[in-house]
Amino acid sequence: MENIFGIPMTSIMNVLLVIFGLCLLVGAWILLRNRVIFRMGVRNIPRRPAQTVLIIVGLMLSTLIVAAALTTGDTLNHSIRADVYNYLGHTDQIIVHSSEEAVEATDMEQAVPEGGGTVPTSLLEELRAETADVGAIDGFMGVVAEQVPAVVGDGTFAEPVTAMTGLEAEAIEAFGGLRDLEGNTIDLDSLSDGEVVLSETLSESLNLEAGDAFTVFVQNAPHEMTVFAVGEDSYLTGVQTPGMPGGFAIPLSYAQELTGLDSDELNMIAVTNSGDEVSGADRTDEAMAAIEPLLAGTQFNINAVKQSLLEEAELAGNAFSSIFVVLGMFSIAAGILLIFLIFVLLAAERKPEMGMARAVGLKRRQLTQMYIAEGLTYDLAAAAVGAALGVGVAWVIADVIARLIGDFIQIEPSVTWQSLVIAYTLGVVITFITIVISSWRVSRLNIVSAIRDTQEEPKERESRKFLIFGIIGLVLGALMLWGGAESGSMALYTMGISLIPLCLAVIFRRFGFSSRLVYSLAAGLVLLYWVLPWEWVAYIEPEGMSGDFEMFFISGIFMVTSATVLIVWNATVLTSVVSFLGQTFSRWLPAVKTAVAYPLASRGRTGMTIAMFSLIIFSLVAMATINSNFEQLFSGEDASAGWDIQLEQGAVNPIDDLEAALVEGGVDTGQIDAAARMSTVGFGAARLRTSPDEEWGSYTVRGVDETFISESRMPLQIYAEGYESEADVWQAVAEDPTLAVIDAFAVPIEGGIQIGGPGFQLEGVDLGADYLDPITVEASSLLNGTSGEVTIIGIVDQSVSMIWGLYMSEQGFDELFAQPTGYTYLVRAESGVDHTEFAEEMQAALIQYGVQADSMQDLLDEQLAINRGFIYLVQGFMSLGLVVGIAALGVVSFRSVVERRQQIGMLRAIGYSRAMVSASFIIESAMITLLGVLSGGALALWLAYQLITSEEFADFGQIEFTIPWGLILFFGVLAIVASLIMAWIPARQASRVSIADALRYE
Amino acid sequence: MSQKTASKDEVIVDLDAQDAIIEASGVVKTYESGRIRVEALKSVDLTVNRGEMVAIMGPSGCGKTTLLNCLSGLDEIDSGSILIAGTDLAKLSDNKRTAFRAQDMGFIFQFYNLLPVLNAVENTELPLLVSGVGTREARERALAILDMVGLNDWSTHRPAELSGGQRQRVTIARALVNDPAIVWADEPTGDLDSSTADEVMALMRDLNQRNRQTFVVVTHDPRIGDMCDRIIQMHDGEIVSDGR
Ligand SMILES: Nc1ncnc2c1ncn2[C@@H]1O[C@H](COP(=O)(O)OP(=O)(O)OP(=O)(O)O)[C@@H](O)[C@H]1O
Ligand SMILES: [Mg+2]
Repeated sequence: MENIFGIPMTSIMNVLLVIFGLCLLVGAWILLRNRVIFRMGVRNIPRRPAQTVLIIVGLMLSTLIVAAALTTGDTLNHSIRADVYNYLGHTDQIIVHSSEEAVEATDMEQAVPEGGGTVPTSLLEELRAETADVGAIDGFMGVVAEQVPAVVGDGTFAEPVTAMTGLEAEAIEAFGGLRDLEGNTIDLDSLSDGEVVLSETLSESLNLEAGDAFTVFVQNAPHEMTVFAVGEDSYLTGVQTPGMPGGFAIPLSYAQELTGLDSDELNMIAVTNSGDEVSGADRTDEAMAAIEPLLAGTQFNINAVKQSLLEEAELAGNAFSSIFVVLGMFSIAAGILLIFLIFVLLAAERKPEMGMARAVGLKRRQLTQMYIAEGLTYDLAAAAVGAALGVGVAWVIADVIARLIGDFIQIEPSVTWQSLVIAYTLGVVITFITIVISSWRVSRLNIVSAIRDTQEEPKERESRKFLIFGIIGLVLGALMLWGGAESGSMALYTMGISLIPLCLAVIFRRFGFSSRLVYSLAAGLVLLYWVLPWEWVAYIEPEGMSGDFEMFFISGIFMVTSATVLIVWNATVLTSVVSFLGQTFSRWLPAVKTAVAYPLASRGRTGMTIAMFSLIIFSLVAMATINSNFEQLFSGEDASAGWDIQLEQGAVNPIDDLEAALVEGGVDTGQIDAAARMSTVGFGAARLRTSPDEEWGSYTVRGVDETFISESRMPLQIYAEGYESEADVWQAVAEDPTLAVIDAFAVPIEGGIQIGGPGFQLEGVDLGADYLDPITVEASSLLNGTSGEVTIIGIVDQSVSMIWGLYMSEQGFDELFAQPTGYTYLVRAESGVDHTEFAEEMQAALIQYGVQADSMQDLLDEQLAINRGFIYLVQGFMSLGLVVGIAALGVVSFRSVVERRQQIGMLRAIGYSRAMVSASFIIESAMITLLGVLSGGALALWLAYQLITSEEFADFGQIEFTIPWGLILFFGVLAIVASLIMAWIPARQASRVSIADALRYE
Repeated sequence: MSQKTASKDEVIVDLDAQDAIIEASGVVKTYESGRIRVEALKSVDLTVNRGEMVAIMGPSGCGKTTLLNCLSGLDEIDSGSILIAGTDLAKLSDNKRTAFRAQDMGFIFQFYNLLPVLNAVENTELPLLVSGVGTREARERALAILDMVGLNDWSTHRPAELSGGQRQRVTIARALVNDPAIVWADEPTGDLDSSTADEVMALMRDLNQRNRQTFVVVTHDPRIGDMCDRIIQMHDGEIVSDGR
C-alpha cells in the first residue's frame, strides 16, 4: 500500500524511523552515561520468567494490532492486483468511443463497454503507424465484444451472460496469445465461422468439451457454435474477474458479422505496453502520453484500465487497513493502560529495593532511567513478537475474507516490509512513550503508596505536583475547548469539556476536599455529559460542530473512564450487596468478603483493569448493536421496494413484451402479480455532476415505466416543497421527463468511511430539513456521449436497499440517453409462489434473451451473509483487546499472590480453607471483569440507543431499537470465562501457600 | 465449652475429654534451604494442661516460633508426635485441620496479623464467619469482644488507622472471638510499650482465668513470663528448663 489515512506510507515510515531512532538513542545514552543503571534495569528482566512473558504480551499488543491491520490491507491490495494481472493479462489500456474526456474505469466489467459507439479500424492503422517508434507501446488489437446468452441443447445448461470477444488474430501474440489448457498456442486464424475458443470456466459451467455444440443469441437471433478448443481463463477468453461465467473468443471478422458491425468497425482497441503483465502497467503514463495527442479532438478516448484497477486495489487495501486500525484503537488504548499498570506493579514489587537503592545514593532520575532501560528492552522484544503475531492474525483474517468473498477475489496473504517496519516502529514508539511516562511516575511520584494496600496520605510535595498536573490539565482542557469551538472539531471540543472537571477534581483535592467526593462529582459530571440525550447537551455546544468516526473512540474513552472512576470510588456499595448475598451463601461469605475488600483498597489497579475490560466490551457491544440495527434497517420489508424477483438483462437481445416472451417460454404468467421495467445505463457508463465545475461521478441511471411508479413501495426520505405526498412526487417524475428521484446512498454519510471508487455523491443535502431543495444535475452517457439536465426532487429512503439509481421516466431517459446498457425487470409474484423456483423458471424460459433472474430475498440474504461475515471478522479482531484485559488480570493476580502471601498465611491459620482462599481470588477477578463488562456493555447500549434514535439517524429511516442480546451475552461470557481461567492459576498458587513460611517475614 | 458446640458442624477433636491438652514428644523440625540445614527443633518433649498459661522464652532464633507453628499444626514436623486433646493433627485432612483451627484455636502472630483491607470488626469476626456463624451473630460477638478489649469506638477503623497497641488488641479480640480452647500467641506484646504491654497481658491473663482457656505465649519479656503459670526456656532448638 502507498497511503493510509491519506498520508504516504513512506512518510509515515520515515517519521517513525526517526522517532524510533530517538528512542534507541535514549537507551544508548543511558547505557553510555550510566552503565550500571542500565545493567540494573536489564537485569530485572530474567528474574521472573512468567511475569516477563505477561509483560511482553502486554507490550506487544499495539504492534500486533497495527501489523494485523496493515497486513490485511497489503493482502487485499496484493490479491486484487494479482487478479488484475491475471485477468487483464497484457492489456494495459483500451481505446473506446466516447465524446467526453477520459473516464476512470471503476470496475472490471466496465472494461468492455456494452453497446457503445464504434471505433473505426482506420484509427487502429493510424495508431500503429504513428507509434511504431514508441518504446513503451508493444501493440494494438482491434476488439469486438458483446455480452450474450449461451444455451446448450434444449437448455439443460445455460448461462445468461457470457462474454463474446472477437479478436484480431495477427495482433494477439503481443497480448500474451491464446492458449489451451496444456499451454499450446491456439491460432485464431485457423477457426472457421461458428468455431470458438471457450474459456475454462464456461466449459465447466456449460459442461462442454472440444467438438461440442451450443447456441448463442445475438440481437434475438440464434447462432450455432462449436467448441474448437478450451482455453485458459483470461481477458481474451472473456473472463475479467473470478466468479464471472467467462466467455469465448472468436475471430474478429466473425464477431463483426454476428453483431452486425461493418468490417471496418470495432468496439474498442486494446493497447499493450512493453514488458509483461506487471511491468507493462508501469509504462502506462508513457503510453498514454504518446497516444493521447493522437486522439485529441476525436470522439475516441484512451482509458488506462489496468492502472485504474490497480489504484482500486490500493484503495480497497487502504479502506481495510483504516477500518482495522480505527477499530483496533480501543485495544491499543487498553494496551497502553496495561503497560502503565505493569509498571506500577513492578514498582510496587520493587519498592523495598528501590528504597534501598535510593538510600545508597541513587537519584530519582537514575531510577527513572533504570526503568526506561528495562522497559525499552522489553519493548524492542515485544514489538518484534507483536509484529510477527500480527502477521499471523492477518493471515487468519485473510482466510476469513477468502471464505466471504473468495468468489470475487482470490485472496492471497501478503505482507510488505514497509508495513512490518511501520507496525514495529509504531509499536515501539507508543510503548516507549508510555514507558517513559510511567517510569517517571513510579520513580518520581510516590503513587506506590496510593496503590499499595497500606494507604499512606500523599506527602505535601507530591500533592503539590498533583496541583501542577491539575493546572496543566485544566489549561490544556480549556485550550481544547476553545480550539474545538473555533475549528468546529467535535473531538477537541468534547475532550476539552471532559478534561476540565477531572482536572478541577485533582486541584480541589489539593485543598483538602474529600477525594471520594471530588472524584465522584467530576466523573459524574463527565459521564452525565456523555450520556445525556444529545439534544439536551446540544445547547452548550457551539453551532456547526462536526465529528467523524473518531467520535466513537473518544466517547468510548471518556464514558468508560468516568464510569470507572465512579465505580472505584463508590464500590463500597458493593459491600452491602455482598453482606446480603452472605446471608444466602454463608459458607463462602468470608471468601467473598476478602474478594471485595482487596480490589476496593487498591483503586488504581482495580480501576485500570476494569477500564480495560470496559473499553473492549464497550467497543464490541456498540459495534454489534449499531450494526444489528443497521442490518434491520437495510433488510426490512421495504428492502426490495415490494418486488420479489429481479430479471437483469443486457441490451443485446431486447425483449419486446415480457409477458409474451414468458408465455412463449412456457411460463404460467398467472403467477405474476405485477411486472415493471427499468431501462438502465449502468454504473461506469452513466455519469452525473452537479455543476460543470465538479468532477463527474459514475452512477446508475434508470428509466422507469408506469408500473414501476404505481406498484413500487418506495418511501421517500425527503422531497421538494410543493408536492402533496410521496405519490405526488413519483407522479411528477412519471409525467415530467426533466424530473428525477435518487436513492439515499448517493447522499454521503457523515462520519462514514468511504470505500468505493469515484462514484457520484450528492453533496449539500440536509436530510433533517423539512423539504429538499431541488438539485439539478447533469447526466451523461459514455455510450454515445449524450448528456442533459435533470432535477432531483426526492430522495428514496435507506430502507430500500436492493434497488438504487437515479430514477426518471422512460421518456426522459430516452430523450437523454437514447440507448440503455441493459434492462431490469421487477416482478411481484402472486402469494404462494416460491420466488427462488419461479426465478429459475423464468431465467430458463428467457435464456435466449440473456436474462439473469434472482429472488430478491435470496440476493438480500447473500448480501447479509457477507456483511455479517465481515462484522464477525471485525469483532473477532476487536476482541483481541480482551487479551489485554485478561493479561492485566493475570499480572494483577500473580502480583497479589506475592503481595498477600503473609496475609494468606494468616487467613489460612485462622481457618480459611484452601478452597476458600482460591475462591476469594477467583471471585475477585470475576467481580472486576463483571464490573468492566457491565459498565462497558451498558454504556455501549446507551450510546447505540442514542445514535439509533437520534434525529439524524431517524432521517435515514425509522426502526425499532433492537439489542443483539445473544451476541452481547457471548462477549460477556467470553470475557468472564477467559478471566476465570486466567485467575485460576494464581488462585491455585495462593491456596498452596505454606502457612508457616508465609507467616515469616520475607 | 458446651456453649459453642451450637455453632459447630461436627466435633473434630473432643477437647473436654482429657486434661493434657497438648502432648508433644520427640518433635524434630529441620529446615533445609539449599545447602544450609537448620535444626530448629531437636527432639522437643512438652505437655500442657487445659487452662494453663505457658510462656515460651529464649534467645532469638532458638526455635520458639517454630515450636508454636508445629504444635498448632501450621507447620509439619519431621519426626515425633503431637497430640492435641489426644488427636494427632498431622493425621487430619487439611480441611479438617483448618476447621479445627477456625473453631477451637486462636492465633496471635509475631508479624502480619490483620488484613489491612478490612476494618477492626471485620477482622475480628473472620474466624466466626469461616466456621459458619451467621453474619448477624458474628457481628454481635465481634463487637462484644472488641468492647471487652476496649475498642468499641474503633471498630470501623482499618488497621492503618490504629496504633500498634490498638492493632494488637484487635488481634487478641480476633484470637478470642471464637471462644477457642487454645490460644497461640507469638510475641503478643512485642511492639508495645511496657504499660500497654501490661494491659494486654493482664487482659489475656484475665480471660485465661475466667474461661479456663489454654494460652501458649512466646515472649522475650520476663515480666510477661512472670505472669504465666509456667515458663519454658528454650535454647538452640531444645527445651532447657520448664517450670516456674
Ligand atoms: N523457613 C525457614 N527456612 C530456614 N530456616 C528457618 C526457617 N524458618 C526458621 N528458620 C530457622 O530456624 C531457627 C528457628 O527460628 P524461629 O523463627 O523459630 O526462631 P525464634 O525463636 O522464633 O526467634 P525470634 O525470637 O527471633 O522470633 C532459626 O535459626 C531460623 O533461622
Ligand atoms: Mg519468632
